[in-house]
Amino acid sequence: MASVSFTSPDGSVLTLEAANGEKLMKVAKQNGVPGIVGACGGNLQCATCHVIVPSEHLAKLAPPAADEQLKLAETAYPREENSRLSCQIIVSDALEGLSVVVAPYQR
Amino acid sequence: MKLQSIAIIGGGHAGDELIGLLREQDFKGDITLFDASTLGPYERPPLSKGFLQGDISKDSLSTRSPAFYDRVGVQLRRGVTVELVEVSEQGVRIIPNQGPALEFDAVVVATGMAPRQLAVPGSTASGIHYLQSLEDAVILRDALLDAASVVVLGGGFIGSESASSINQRGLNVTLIESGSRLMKRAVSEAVSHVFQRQHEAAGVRLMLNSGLVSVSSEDGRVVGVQTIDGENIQADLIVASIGVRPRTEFLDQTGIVLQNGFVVVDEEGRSSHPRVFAAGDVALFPNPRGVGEPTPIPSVDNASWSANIVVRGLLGTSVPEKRSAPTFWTKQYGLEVQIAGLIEPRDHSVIRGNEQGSSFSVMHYFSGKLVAIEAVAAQRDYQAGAKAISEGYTIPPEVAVSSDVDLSDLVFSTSQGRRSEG
Repeated sequence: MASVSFTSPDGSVLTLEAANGEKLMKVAKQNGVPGIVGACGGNLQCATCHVIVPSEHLAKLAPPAADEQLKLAETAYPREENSRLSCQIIVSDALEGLSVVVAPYQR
Repeated sequence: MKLQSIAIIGGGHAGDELIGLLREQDFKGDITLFDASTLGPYERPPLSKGFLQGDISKDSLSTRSPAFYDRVGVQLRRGVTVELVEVSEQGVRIIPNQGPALEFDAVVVATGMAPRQLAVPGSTASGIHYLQSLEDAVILRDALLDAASVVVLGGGFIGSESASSINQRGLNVTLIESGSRLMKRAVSEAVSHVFQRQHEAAGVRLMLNSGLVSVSSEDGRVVGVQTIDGENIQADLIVASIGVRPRTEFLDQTGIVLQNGFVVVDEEGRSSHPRVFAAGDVALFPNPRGVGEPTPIPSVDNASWSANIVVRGLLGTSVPEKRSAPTFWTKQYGLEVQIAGLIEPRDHSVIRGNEQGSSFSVMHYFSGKLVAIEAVAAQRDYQAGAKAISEGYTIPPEVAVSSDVDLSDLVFSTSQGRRSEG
């Protein structure tokens, strides 16, 4: 279990309790976090669950795998250094207190 | 037109997406969702893949938490079918199969598709399954527990995926397709062939250019089929994936323009009646290529895109954005093809890589312009192609076929360059 905050393009902030083992994108979709599209259902097909992780939170996450890196090149909003696809972030206790910013647009 | 109330008919990927998007776009009026299913929104693509194979549980398919609906505020009418819609200049009246008729300022039709029913002699036997909804998938998956031999009818995406999933459960599968190759309408020949080889290597019996004469049964239960080739094939159950039709009968009396049951809509998802919109599989948008006939685009990607467009149309918030290439994918026996753009028979195509192998791409051109890519286990090609198509950048055919060129490096350096120039 981890408490994770999403800051959306409309300025709204949602803090959600996420169960271990879930994809962060799925948690966001299930709770309707504005700005997360997740069109492919988390299959690394669409690059529409783009989030940006503030530097001070990066240590909570494992670095992106090669296929996520590749997919990040395809985001509609140009990727930033700390960009991630939230479907590739798996919730664990280590994420407690994580805060991410939803990319300004996804497609 | 300032809207106070909006009804959404259909709670699939498009209908459910609309709820959140309307609130994101600051719609403060009433939203009512009519959904024939009681199972709530769920991911549809895994039904014929991981769910049927037994790798994914029913609960994990759910796409929304109850807290979401409480927070956004929506009237949920699940398990309710809309029988009739009446339209006037003032509003839309919805007559459901239970409860009172209700009035709305606007309605979005997102009812999706219904499977075409098998109609050969013997088709009333039990043991004939369709695979369109989670309800269907649960029943089919349970029935597979007692089956040894399965006939899958129809080699489109759903039939071909089902044959793969059922084969992977260790059952004996015969896949019968009326056309000359699998997934003929969706993919090119080289891609059909690589998947056909996968089926055959896994032990599925493929019967192309074939079809059923009748279904045979004992005590009302399916025991086999007779094919037009004169063969009798034993089967404990049949999965019929022989086509779909839009669920739009309730619009027949409205005078709204339909084409083969699809709701014809403009660039903002508006039908021929200004208060009626359509999203998802039932919506027939102008051809995304800008030329040619409108074409149905049955995919989750399109459901999500069209929901986004319809919200803009409903609320008049802003002009529709440039459309990124529609995308499709299928995975069978662990082999994946990713498709971006619409493939049309008149396109010129070239193949990158070895089509006899299990990783290659087919690039499609119309009037010299790259319009679609099919990438078989070729992630970098796919990403490059999808990006190029969406941005209107053409990778010339002679470059595309060169194994010396990394398409990703080519496209992404070009678009980065453009961005910094712009």
